[in-house]
Amino acid sequence: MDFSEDDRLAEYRQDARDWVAEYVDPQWAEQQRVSGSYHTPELHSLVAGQGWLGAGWPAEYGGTANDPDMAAALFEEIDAAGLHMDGWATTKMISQTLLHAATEEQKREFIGGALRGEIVIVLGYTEPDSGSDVAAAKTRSERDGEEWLINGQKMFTSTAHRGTHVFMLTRSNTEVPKHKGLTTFLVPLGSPGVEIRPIYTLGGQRTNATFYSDVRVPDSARIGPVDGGWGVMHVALVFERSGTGGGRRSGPTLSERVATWAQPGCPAPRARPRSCSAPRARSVSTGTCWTSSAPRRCSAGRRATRRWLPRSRRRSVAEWSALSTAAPRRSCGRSSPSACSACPVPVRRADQP
Amino acid sequence: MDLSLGEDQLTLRAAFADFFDKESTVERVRAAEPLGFDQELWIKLAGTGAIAMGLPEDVGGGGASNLDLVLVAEQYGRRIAPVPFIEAAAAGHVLAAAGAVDLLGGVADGSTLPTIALSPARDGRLRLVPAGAVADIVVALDGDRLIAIRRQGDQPGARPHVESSPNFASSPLADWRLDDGDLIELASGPQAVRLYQDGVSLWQLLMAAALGGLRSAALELGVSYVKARKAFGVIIGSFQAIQHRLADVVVAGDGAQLLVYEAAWARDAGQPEAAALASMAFLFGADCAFRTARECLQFHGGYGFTLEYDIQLYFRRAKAWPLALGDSRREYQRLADLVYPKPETTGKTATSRKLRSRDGLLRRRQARRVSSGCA
Repeated sequence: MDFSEDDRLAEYRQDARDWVAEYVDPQWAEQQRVSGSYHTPELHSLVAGQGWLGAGWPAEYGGTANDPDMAAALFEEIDAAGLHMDGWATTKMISQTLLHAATEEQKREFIGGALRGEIVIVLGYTEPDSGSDVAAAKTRSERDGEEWLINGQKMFTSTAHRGTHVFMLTRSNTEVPKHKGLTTFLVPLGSPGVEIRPIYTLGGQRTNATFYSDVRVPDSARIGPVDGGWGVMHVALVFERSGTGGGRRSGPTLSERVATWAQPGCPAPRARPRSCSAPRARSVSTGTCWTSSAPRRCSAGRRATRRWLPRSRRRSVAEWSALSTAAPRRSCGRSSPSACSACPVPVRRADQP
Repeated sequence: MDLSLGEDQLTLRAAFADFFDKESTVERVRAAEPLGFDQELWIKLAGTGAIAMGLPEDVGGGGASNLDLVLVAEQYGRRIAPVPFIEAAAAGHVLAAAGAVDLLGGVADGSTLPTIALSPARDGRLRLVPAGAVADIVVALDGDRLIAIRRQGDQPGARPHVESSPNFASSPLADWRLDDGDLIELASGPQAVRLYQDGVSLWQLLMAAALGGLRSAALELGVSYVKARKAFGVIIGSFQAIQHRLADVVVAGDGAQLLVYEAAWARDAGQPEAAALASMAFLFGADCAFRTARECLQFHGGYGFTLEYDIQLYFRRAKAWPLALGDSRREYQRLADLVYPKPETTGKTATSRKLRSRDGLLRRRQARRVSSGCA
């Protein structure tokens, strides 16, 4: 048994940091924070243009000769610079799904486009009346000759306002049990009849409600068999839930910042936040172990489940709870610690929603 | 990173799972109450080499790693064995580290039972020493002296030597006075404190592992009950209210186990954060074990608090085993000091005295506001 963190990407980190210093515009992170849109088209084109999106993908579908480890290090550094790449995250999931579920022609068209940065795919599973019960989707798809007509509504279609396609779960058959009447499509967001309305959320992130009225797509937009959408979803959800990475944050964790802040220099009681932070440090440590054990469990034949969240998510849960438990009832006269120069805990981290 | 157990470790775990399954049955555990000590089991356990397994080979030990000890402690906890395995392992470790080889005579075969006092001596007394009622030697900290007290004139096998203090876990807790036997000074100064704290840290680690075993056994009892008991015509395990609570304790328990293994690994690898990890593993393990035992007891409905059902045996120990170390809030504060750099305190006593005065507190706040520029 060995818990030492071996950094597979150690040799790439400096190059990756240099890359970020050279190419990444420091304003992008601030723009993401202010707009709540976690996809920066300039960044996406930049990364795609240099071939980093295609690193490690099969050459026949647009894979590039770029080193996949360097690409991984690069994405982590971009993440550490406070930049989200949500558009790539969903595009990647669906491209991986397409590798398993799409026709040869679709793979060439969609995966190739995605790796060149021309196609950004967002997710269309959740509806106003169904979330976890994903197979209860009501959005209708009806055959009309060589085409399909799609009518309905999807919720939380994040990044739709900046994407090109939505990967959509629809009900193609109402006569059979719910899992057997589903079909998936890759619908161009520019199609007539698609409407995107913003939804703003508590943490600042913008997501969308999307509406589809008589949206017409060719049969070539259908992914997988007619009424065989549930099988496609099986693949897609595994890729969605088994993602790890994006976790290597630089700088102190939030619990460390709370502990530092709770020291003299800020007129607030300090014993309580410090000892309250201790269990959070504990949960961060546990979370790290959990994340590390996930691939082992998966390879041991256990299915990836929601339990094995990516490290970034886990840390933020632990750390946000640290902030809420540890925040003292009063600090100085100012309304929030971040407004006081003696209280260095930011209320909101650049890399958090 | 490789979080799997090796071939030898799997064998070791299986061997001790067998041993405790066979030797520490519920009947034996119940029969050993209220003292919580089974002399025959103690001698049998010594026969497996478990008591001295963590000691260096040159003093007659087995040279086992901390991870090995953790695997044994898990099985020990799973069968809530009425023997002070953890205390003897921690005390033996301190004696060996202090070079007190002569005091280790008879430890390996179970004839001499050493333990460790988890709080330093006060007014010549050691309060509620775990295994204190059955121990022959107690290792303790008295000021900045690391001491061992050896009880004289007791007949081997005539345990308990003194009556235990009645307690919720049926543990052989007892007070010791520093003049209860020969007092041997093992070390003094910072070295003494370091050796003692390392012993307590090992106790925390092994207790965390034992609580992990206890937790998994309590969970088995809970799960088998909810799969058998029917209400409204269905098994109660089909109710989501129960399933969610079970899932929560399983997830937390998995994390607790990983934390214990990480702490053991850190100790074996000489990592600087080993002590902090042991403390985290202990606190989290105690929390998870009690939550699991409590939930599983509640699933038993009214039967949960009858003495007939076994879940109460686990519930009581989950609550009381960790209490041997004292208030967990104090341990959390200590952990904060380990994990985060200590706040710069200048003239602590002067500050506390000032704090006690309301005027002083206000003056201090005002001064700070002015100096930090946010008045």
